[in-house]
Amino acid sequence: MKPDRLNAFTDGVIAVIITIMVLELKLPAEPSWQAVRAVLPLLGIYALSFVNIGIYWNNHHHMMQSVRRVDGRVLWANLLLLFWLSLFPLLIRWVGEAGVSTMPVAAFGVDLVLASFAYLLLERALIACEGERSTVAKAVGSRTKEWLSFGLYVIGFGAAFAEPWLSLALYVAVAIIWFVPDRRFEQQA
Amino acid sequence: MNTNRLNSFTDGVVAIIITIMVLALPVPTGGGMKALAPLWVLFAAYALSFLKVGIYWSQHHHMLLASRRVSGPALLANLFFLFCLTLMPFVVRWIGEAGITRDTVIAFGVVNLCCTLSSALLVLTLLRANDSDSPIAKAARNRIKGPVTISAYVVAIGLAFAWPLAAVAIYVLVALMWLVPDKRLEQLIVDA
Repeated sequence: MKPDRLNAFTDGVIAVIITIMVLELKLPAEPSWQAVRAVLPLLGIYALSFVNIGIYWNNHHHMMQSVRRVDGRVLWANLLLLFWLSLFPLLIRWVGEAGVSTMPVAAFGVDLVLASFAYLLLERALIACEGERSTVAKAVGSRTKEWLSFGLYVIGFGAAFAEPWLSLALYVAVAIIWFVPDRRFEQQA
Repeated sequence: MNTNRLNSFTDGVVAIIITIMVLALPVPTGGGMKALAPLWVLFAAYALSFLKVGIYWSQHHHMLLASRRVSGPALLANLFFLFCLTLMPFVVRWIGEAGITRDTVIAFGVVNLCCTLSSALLVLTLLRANDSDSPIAKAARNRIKGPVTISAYVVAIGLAFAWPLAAVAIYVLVALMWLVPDKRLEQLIVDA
């Protein structure tokens, strides 16, 4: 099977996810600086989620450039990734209601861990489908960045039980690592 | 007509359906672990619904890969299929508000039965639009999962009146059955 429809479906799902997140934002209760400051953490979580979803889409886009065909296993791995991404709007709403506190920030970490794990599964499924000598296998290489982010997310999750802001700092750090475009695929293409 | 626009329209609609279901999920009210306890059931219902919509999309993807042409009736059947799918977020919202009760479990079964039946109707219109030696005609010759699914949903809806959890178990089993890839169909599509 060609990857066209998988890409179109993924683009559609991610486009909706990244757009409906804004519905979870709250307006300041009154037009005062204090009220604006109160909604800033939520705005920050929204921005972080937006960047994260954008990073996943970017990497998906780059990776699929070098893919010629997909199979059933790839479709399911992709769906699993979309499932974890679909929970971000819910987590933003939770932060909006409970504030930057242990439970929502830890849940955010769990979702990030599971999404990055699903992405690793997707890479494996694609390599299994295309072969060890394929462009995608060469480009993915040793997956240092993937495992590094996976580890930092796990630490971030744990840190939420001590200091939720420390977790957020770690999540932001991973986002910065990925903000640099994935040259692996650009070089192979 | 070729299948391109029907596919991209369907992808757009299904993408929205599968994503807005999350809006029906409530967030925990407190900060502690105990606040999560009443929610895991709803979360499981969400995950199952997400999986179901994903399965419908995957089936659609396979059916349309095996088709070379679509017809006017196929467009209408597809629209009917999409209509049934749009009821999934609605039933998830009901489950979110009322929980796993007899009525919500029945409604979930009825919506899924409608999705499956409308998907079967779409196959019929695709068979008419394509030649008898097309991949979809070959793939349709010995389908077993379709009739099994329809019967399972009918049984589950009946059981839900007395034992809602038994119906839920059937819904899960049907989903697991569809997760097993259809190697024969994939081979037909590769050959096509």
